[in-house]
Amino acid sequence: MRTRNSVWIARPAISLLALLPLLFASCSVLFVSPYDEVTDRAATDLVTKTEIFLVRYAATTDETGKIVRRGKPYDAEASTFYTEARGAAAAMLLRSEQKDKNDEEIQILRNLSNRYDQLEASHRLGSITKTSAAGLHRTLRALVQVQLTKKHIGTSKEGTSASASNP
Amino acid sequence: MDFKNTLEKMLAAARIAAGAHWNVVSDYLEKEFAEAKKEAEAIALEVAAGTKTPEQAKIELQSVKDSLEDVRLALTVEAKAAAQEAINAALEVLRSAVNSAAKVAIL
Repeated sequence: MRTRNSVWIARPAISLLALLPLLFASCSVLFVSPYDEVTDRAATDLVTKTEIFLVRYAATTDETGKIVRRGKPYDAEASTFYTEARGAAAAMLLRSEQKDKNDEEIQILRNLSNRYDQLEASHRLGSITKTSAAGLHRTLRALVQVQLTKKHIGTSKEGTSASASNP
Repeated sequence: MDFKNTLEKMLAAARIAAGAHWNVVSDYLEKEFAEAKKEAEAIALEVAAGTKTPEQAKIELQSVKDSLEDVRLALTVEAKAAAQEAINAALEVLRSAVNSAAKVAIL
C-alpha cells in the first residue's frame, strides 16, 4: 500500500521533470517576427527599380538648387512606374500581414505606398529632383533597416545555438 | 549552483547582446536627422532657384516629415530585437548553469 502511494506521489514529479526541458526550450522570448528572405529580396528589388526610375526622371541640381541636368516630365511610363511600385509594396504588405509580431514592418509598408503617392503628386506638378524622393528614400531605408535587424537576430541566434551545441 | 555568479553572467550576456543594437540605433538616428536637415534646406533652395514650385515643396516637405515616423518604427524593431536578444542570452546562461549543476544535460 505504502509502495503504491509513493508511486502515485512520484508520478507527477517524474512528469514534471520530463516536461522541464520542453518548458525551458520554449522559454526563449520572441518580440520581433523572424527574418523573411522573400520580403528582403522584394524590398531590394523595389529599391533598385526606384533608383533606376529616379536616374531617368529626376533632374540634377547644383548646390544653389539650379538645374544642371534636366529630368523627364510626368508621362505614361512614369505613371506605370508609380502604379507598379505601389503594387510591389501591396504585395509585400500582404505577406507581412500574415506574420505575428510584425506591426512596425506592416506600418512602414503602408506608409511606403503613401511616399510613392507623394512623389507622384509632386511629379505631376513639375519636374522632380533627387530631393523630391527624400521622404521615399527614408521610408525605403527604414524598410531595409528592419530586414537587416531581423537578419542579424537570425544570424546571431544561429551562432549562439552552434556555440552552445559545439563548445 | 553558484547563483550569484550565474546572475552576473546573465547580466553580462544580456549587456553584450543589447550593446550591438544600441550602436545601430545611435548611428542610424544621427544619420537620418542630419539627412532630414539637409533635405529641407535643399528643397528650400530649389524653390528659391525656381527649380520647383512652392506646391511641390509643400508635398515634398510633408513627405520628409512623414518619413521620420518610419525611422521611429525601424528603431522600435531595433529596440525590441535588443530586448529579445538580451533576454534570450541571459536564458541561455541560466540553461547552461542548470545543466552544469545537474552534471547532465537536462535542459
